[in-house]
Amino acid sequence: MKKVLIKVFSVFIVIIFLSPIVYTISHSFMDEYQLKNNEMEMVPEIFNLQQYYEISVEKNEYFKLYTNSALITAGVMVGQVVVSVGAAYYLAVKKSRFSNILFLVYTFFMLLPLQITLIPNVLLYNAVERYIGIKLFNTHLAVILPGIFNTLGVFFLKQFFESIPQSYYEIANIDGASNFDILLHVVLPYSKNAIAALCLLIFIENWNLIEQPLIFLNDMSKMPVSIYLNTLYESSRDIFYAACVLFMFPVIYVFTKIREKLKTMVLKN
Amino acid sequence: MSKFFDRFLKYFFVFLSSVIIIGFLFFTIRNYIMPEVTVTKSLENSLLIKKDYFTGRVVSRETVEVKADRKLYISEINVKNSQIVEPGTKIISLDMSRQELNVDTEASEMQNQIKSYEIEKLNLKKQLDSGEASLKKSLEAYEKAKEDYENTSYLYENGVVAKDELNGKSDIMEDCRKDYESEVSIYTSETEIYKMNLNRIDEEIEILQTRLHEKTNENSENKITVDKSGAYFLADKVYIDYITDKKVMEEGETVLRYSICNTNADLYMEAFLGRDVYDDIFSNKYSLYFWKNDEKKKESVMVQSVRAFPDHNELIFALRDELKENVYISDSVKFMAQSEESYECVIDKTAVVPIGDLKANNTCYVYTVLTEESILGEINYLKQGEYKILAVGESTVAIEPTQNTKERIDKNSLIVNYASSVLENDMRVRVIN
Repeated sequence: MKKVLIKVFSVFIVIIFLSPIVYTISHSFMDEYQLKNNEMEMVPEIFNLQQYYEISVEKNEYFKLYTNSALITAGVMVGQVVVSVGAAYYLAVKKSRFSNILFLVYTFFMLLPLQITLIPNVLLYNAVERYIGIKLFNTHLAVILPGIFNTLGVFFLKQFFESIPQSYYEIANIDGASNFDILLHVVLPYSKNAIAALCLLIFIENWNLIEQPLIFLNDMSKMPVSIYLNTLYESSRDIFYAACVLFMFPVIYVFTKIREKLKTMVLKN
Repeated sequence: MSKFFDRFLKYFFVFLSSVIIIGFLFFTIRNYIMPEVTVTKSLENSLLIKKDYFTGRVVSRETVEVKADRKLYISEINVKNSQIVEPGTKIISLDMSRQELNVDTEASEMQNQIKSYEIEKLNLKKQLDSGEASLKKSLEAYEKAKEDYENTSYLYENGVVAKDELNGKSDIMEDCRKDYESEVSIYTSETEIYKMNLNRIDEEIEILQTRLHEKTNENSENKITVDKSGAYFLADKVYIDYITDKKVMEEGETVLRYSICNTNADLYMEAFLGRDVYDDIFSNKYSLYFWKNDEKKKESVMVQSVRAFPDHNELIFALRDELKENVYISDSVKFMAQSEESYECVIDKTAVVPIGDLKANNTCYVYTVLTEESILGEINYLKQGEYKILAVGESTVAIEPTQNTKERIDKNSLIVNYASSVLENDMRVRVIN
């Protein structure tokens, strides 16, 4: 009886989570008439690809913002992985007396709500522009740079690097490997799954950015798709659901590709 | 079930990937093939300049036609059509051996008489000079004899010479005095006669010259007056409009037609202009320029008179002093009439898309470029406006919006000048410099 209840509850949870996705996908195959008159229906009366045709051929300005999203996400992902790997290696392997303090500071910043750091960042950008002459505000760098120095990656990888057996480092040291060699040839091959999982987390987080672009960017042409979807619902509902499906497609695709690695990683941790 | 789901997911991902690829592809193509336009602005001074070019000719005020008043046998033609002939140039020569009664003997006689009078006049002058010289000579002889007598008289009083010698000198002096007085008497009487004769000859010459001139003028209009050798001359600088090429001319046939062009006062310029063009330009403040041999003359010219015809106007331009060196008779000249008119909105002709012909009172489309901030950044798109053509200039057009058009063109409006494709309302375009 208990098992049945758990299964029913699980199915209920799955339905709760999946219903928005199914709703969006099914609506992306609806025609304009049904969207206008019977939007709450779940199943398309006439299955058609009109929305996908419209968005890809007629109203393809959407892909300009799609590019912005890709640019911001890729920039943050690459930058954060590089920074996180280096910092986590220092904190986990090359320990010094400041390591713990630094890690404490990192943890503290991770706990800070994102919204607190937004305004200081704007002030910092203005100061940089005024005193150094580098324009950051209203550029993609304004969104990418804070993302690169996000503390989540360091925290995540430090935990993993500490789980690597110490004997690996000792053997590499005996063989005369430098820190960079150890990082490149010992730590990174061992941490593939962890880095992949980190990439997935970074990707999901940055693909769905909302606050940072709203604060750091002014021009609509520089915004990511996540901001534009709301506008699209008001202005062009005839392509809105297809745009939503295309927007969530990369996340779902990446998730399905590395879900095994993520599972392994979670199990290891 | 899981396998089916995986396969479904796979196909769905392939589909979404295709949509994304197609979307990016079309997005790139659409941006790449976006029509390019160049833009202009309305004219700052809002002046519409109308220009019209028309041709004219330099012609003479007086044209003479010479007809054969008798049968003429022409032996030689010394000029040709369209030739400018200096005064005294031989025009034609008649064959005097075949020509009967073709020499104007009266005129020749008069000329000969004048010549004989001239000779007589010269002879009289010579005789007068000779008498004057003789008088002068006898006066000198008398004065010399008188001086000798006075010297001898002085010597006699001092007892140097005898009385006989003094008497001899006195006789000589007396003879010289008588000779001189005789010469004076002759000279005085001869001078009076000479003067009378000279006056008479002068009067005769004047009468003959007047008659000859009258005769020459009378003949020059429609008669061939030749000298004894058969040569025909003209006293004016003329432009040969027409010269016969026949050797034998019957009475009444035109031998020669010429235009007198001694000075520029004898010339003027004439041009013909369509009525509509004339009304279009000359109803406003205008200026006129002319070209000669494709060279623009800076001086403006003034219209002296206008003769109206049903479909065109004839314009007469006086030749002013400063133009004298620039034009000659029969020159072909090109005129440019230019007028200026002020309108509220004047734009380049290339910016107008006319509905029908590009002429006043027709309508046209004008495309202005508007800029809008969008998800693609700053985008330019076209706004089509319907305008009425008020006037058409040489390179500009004056327009005003019709009732269908809300957009007004101001000094800052960007107006499409040239486009790489057919334009449409709300079309996105790329503005190039």
